[in-house]
Amino acid sequence: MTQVCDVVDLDVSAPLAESSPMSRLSEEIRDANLTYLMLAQQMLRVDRAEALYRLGITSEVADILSSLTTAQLLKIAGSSMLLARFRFDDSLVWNLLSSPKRDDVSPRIHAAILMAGRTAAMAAS
Amino acid sequence: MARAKSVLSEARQIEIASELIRLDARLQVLEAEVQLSRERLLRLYREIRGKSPPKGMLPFSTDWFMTWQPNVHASLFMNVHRHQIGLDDATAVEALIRAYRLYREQVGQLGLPEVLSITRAWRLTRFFDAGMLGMTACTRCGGEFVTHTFELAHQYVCGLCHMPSRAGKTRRPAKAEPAGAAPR
Repeated sequence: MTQVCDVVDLDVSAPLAESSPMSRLSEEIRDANLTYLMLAQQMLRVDRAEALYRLGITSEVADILSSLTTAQLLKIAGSSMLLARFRFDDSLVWNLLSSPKRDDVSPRIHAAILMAGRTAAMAAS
Repeated sequence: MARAKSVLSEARQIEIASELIRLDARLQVLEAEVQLSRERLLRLYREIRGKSPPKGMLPFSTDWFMTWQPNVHASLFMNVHRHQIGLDDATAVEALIRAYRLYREQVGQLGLPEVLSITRAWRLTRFFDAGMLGMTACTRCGGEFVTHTFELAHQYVCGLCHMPSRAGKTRRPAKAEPAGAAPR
């Protein structure tokens, strides 16, 4: 995380109050954004079709993502809003994923089926 | 099936065939999906595996996919496959290979055995193409599961929402070992 932070500092104006918790948070958001964008680009380069599944993004978004230059990436990442959000925004999947029975795999494979199904449905729509 | 004409497309076919062999596909899968002669496929198989391909018929039953554990695995695979086959530039074989790799990876992360072999997975896609099997949405969780084509959709409940009492009990000895390795 810290190495990435150094890179970002070059581009984005320094936070006004160094110690304020909010500025530290937005710096971390920038880090998360940049890490996410770079990871996504890398995944798309390695295997596009698999990356679309893992990322859960459409072909159109993937095309834009892979065409971004590093300068654009830095600029986009420097927002105080997180670019990535939860793909499965309902309690059913999250209840299954956070099932308290750790050694029981059936809730987790159940979640995997639901997540794969929704990724497929989202891509088809 | 038309034979590959250009050297480049033949190279692509060999690449696909090698990947299928590495995933442990039976020769029948290769013969159906790759445009190379049987002799070349046999030679390729021996070169990669160092032995002759197993002989005999492929598993052919649709009922196997209805039993509890295979159904869970088949449903996971088909959901991934549905995403991969829907992509614009995906061919059937590539979608099969990619979906199978993703399935295997997810099952491995959960510490489960690979119940579905690539040959079974291929068979499954064939059953779907032939309209013998399909996907039905569970009325409780909304997930899509592999069923016979004429499953009664309005009352279908999947095997994970309604677990049979002895579900998964047979794999207890097999599970003992990977369970320790699972939390990664």
